[in-house]
Amino acid sequence: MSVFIYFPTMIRSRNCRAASRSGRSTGARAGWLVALSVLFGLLSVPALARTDPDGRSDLDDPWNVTFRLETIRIEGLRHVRQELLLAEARLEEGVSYSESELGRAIDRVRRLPFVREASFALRKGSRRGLYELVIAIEETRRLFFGVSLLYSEHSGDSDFELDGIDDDREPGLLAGVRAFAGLYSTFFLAAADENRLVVGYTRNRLWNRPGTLRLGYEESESNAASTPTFGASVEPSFGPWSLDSYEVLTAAVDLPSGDTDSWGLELEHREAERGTRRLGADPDSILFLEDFVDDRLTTNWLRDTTDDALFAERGLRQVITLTYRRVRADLTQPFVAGFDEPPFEVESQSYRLGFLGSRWWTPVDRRTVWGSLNVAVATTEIDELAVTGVGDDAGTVRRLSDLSFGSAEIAAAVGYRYRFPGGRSGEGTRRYGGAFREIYWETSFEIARTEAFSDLVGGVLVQFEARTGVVWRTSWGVFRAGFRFVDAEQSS
Amino acid sequence: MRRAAGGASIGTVVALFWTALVSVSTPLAGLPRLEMEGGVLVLRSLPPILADEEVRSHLETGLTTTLALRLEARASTGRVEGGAVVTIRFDLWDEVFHAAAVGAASPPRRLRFQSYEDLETWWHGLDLEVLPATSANNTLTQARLVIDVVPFSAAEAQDTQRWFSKTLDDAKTSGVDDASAQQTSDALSRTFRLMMATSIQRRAIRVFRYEPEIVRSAEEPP
Repeated sequence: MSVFIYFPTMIRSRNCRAASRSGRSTGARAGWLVALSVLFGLLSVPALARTDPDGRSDLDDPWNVTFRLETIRIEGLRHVRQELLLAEARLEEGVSYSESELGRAIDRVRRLPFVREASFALRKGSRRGLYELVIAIEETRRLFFGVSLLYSEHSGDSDFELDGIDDDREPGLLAGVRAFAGLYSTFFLAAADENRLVVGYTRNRLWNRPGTLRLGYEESESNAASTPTFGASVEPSFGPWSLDSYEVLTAAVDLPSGDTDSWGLELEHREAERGTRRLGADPDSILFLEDFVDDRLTTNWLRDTTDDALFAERGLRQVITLTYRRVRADLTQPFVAGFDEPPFEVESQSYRLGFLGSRWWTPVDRRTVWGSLNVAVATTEIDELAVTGVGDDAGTVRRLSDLSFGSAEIAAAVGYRYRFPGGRSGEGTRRYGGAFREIYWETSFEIARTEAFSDLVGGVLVQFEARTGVVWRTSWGVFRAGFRFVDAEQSS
Repeated sequence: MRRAAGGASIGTVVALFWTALVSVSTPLAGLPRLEMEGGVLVLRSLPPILADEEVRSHLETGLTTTLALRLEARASTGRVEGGAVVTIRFDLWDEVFHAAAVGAASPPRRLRFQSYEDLETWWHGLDLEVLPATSANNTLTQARLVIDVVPFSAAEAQDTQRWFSKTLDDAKTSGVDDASAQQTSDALSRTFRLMMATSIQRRAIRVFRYEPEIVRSAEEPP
């Protein structure tokens, strides 16, 4: 996991806090989103195969040539099927490609999690003007591991120290195995700390055209702080809940609409048996919830020109998302001083439109800088809610009904990554290379502001986060050790 | 290295780790030279990096290989930067090497070689004007040359490709008058900067570092 991965994780968490004001029924809203996604998906999937009747190279200009691929041969396959690689490369025999198109194809192959390294080479075809493309790949190991040793320090508002944010949200330890089945399918199973279990399935070709289907199931004993329960707007203190017996079901389809773009539709169902949230420093001031259910439907447009999924050195990644989210839970046993409401059901529905853009540059070899910008607006509608106070009202709770809010988020991040020299006389030439070649030092800074617009509840959260550490990627996985500092300030 | 790490003792592993961590670039045999010629700084005696196993291997893929040469040096006026871009592509069907060279201060050249040996000879004898004429060139010290060997074309981006082709074409027809020469010079500068910018965006296959020897002629004292 690169530092970049932390950003979306963090940003996504905040982004989930949304607020709403629409009065339409849940079903109607979901229907609209599905219809829009399907419409966009269908409209945006062109015929990727670009036909070139004569396939002739422009011999007059040797720098502006296309190569008609008569055959495509893949070398170095051990577990992965050739069909899967070709589906992701989006290259077809009989079609002409320019060098830039081949360059983007190799980037796509390199972004696959099970490819360690890939290179392209051309050979002569059966007759003049035809070529054989040889794709040489090195696969990762079927077993994979992840270790994260991240020491965190916090300052600012106490809520963040109480409810688990001071614990790193990434699993400290992870071990998994990947298996391939059929022509295009991949299964994986991973176990992590806190008894976390993740099962996944990916299919890399759909309806005989480029596309990806992802199915996932995850369960864990607890999910501290990673799931803002009701959205930022409705919690003036922005405090998170700790959820027990947590499960996540995910189904997603991504359909490419070009060399670098794709449309996606994702359904997510999260549930937890119980949840708790401490209020202020009083250990007895705890809010409880039961039967937590969080459903999300997201449609997104993605542009990705990066050369590496984890440690990109160049390229950009842009995502625009539109999410409908519905959360419900039973709020019970609110043993909070001054709050004697009987248990009641809380429910919120929200729409969120977000943009996340990141760009990587490597102006000097082995030294990469990147910047990231996240902007989002949301509306949320809540039937019933217990709202915690801030400032002088810290540690208090009150019940509110029929609330509608708007909220806005903006976050910016910059980072620097240094790749230690390795390999032989020159630089490390492979992304993974040998056991000790790929070691990075990363530092990043992010500042984020979330604001809820409401007279009754809401507020502003400003958060600063700095990270630094060493990351080591091998064919077995990613090992990280570092330090994180978070400062958060909130106001009502 | 992977095998060694798998079955070696802890001491060997530590030694390998340390070696990998602290290893620095070792120039291949042959030191390039920087020579003043009419005030312009010319890079000569390019090192035999085309013979490097990985570079040679990529040269024969039929895809473009870009060599981005970046020069940094100290002068009396401060730090100066220059460079050149050389692109090479082997035409599999014609079995010839197409090469093009653009320097920060030299007109583009487009050549064709019948064999790898011819290409290597040309490379070694290639003069690249890496810094335009300024009075500060006489005071250069501590020059540093980095050569990135980049897969695919530096002109991979469509805009760059268009600029590159146009500049090469302009160069062939330039010299008619001062105005067209100036236009070509501007286009060259833009193309060069664009190519440098795009070439360093791809991860290099190999990176070579040198400290070129600075040769001053007798009539151009520092």
